[in-house]
Amino acid sequence: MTLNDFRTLKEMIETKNVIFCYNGYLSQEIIVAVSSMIKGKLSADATKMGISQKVLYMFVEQAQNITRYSPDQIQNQEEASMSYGSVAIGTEGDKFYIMCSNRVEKTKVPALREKLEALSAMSQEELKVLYKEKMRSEADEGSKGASIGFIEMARKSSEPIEFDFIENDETFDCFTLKVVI
Amino acid sequence: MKTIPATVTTPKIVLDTHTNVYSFEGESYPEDVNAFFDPIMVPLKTHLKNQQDSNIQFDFFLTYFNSASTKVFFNLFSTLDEISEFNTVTVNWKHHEEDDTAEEFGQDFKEEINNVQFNFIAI
Repeated sequence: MTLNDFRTLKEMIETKNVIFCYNGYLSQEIIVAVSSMIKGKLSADATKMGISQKVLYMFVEQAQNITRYSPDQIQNQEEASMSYGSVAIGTEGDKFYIMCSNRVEKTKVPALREKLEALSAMSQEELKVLYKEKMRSEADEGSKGASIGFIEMARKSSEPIEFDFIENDETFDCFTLKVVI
Repeated sequence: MKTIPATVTTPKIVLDTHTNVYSFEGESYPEDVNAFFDPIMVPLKTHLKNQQDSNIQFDFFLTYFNSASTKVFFNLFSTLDEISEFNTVTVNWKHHEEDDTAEEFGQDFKEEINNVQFNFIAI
């Protein structure tokens, strides 16, 4: 990358009113550190607490999804795992966007797509019913979280969640998700 | 009385099985929620289910928690609802005055329990 390339990349990021943008290996330590930065920045901007809590919630859910599910994982010297993915937080007018991207095994795409399509079409009331249902049931198979992260993100998002899957190679697709508050 | 100090990703937890007063305070988004909460919740629920005609109080002041933690608390509230048939159970759900997100979580929990006195306390 040339100095100009890097500047172009930086300018591109800045035109999108980015507060935070990360592309690389994520770990729980990094999530904790970034959460602290988000709290500090939003508090300095006098963002309403209810809003900043939602931004934080979305960021942690998305980043923890990457650490749990990204297929691109490595172990560091302490044998803690780190997972590759991208996360960005920024503003569009008076709204915040929180987005993430990581690779997903093609075999897992249909189920994930179906789940997200259903969520993005649901009303708040329907989301709440599903949320309660999931809360009372066991976690989905293969889920390391509570399998309610996406539902909760859809409930907190002020607009329907946006997502897509783009061909990456024979084995993987690139999954990208955006929520708005 | 048992006190588990807070960490950056886990709340301070105080469990007093003699007075039946319990509190959870802080943030909760550990990487492995079950590894953290199971050793706490399993004996706690066993103790609670053995209570009869007791006054049981839970204080929550959670400023932030992830979806996996929500499920842990949701399960705890199911137990509270169950034991409220034989005990007097009170939940004090504290939240920052301006934090309507934490308040909304409290509303979700409140809807799950019938015989529990559920108080919202804005701080």
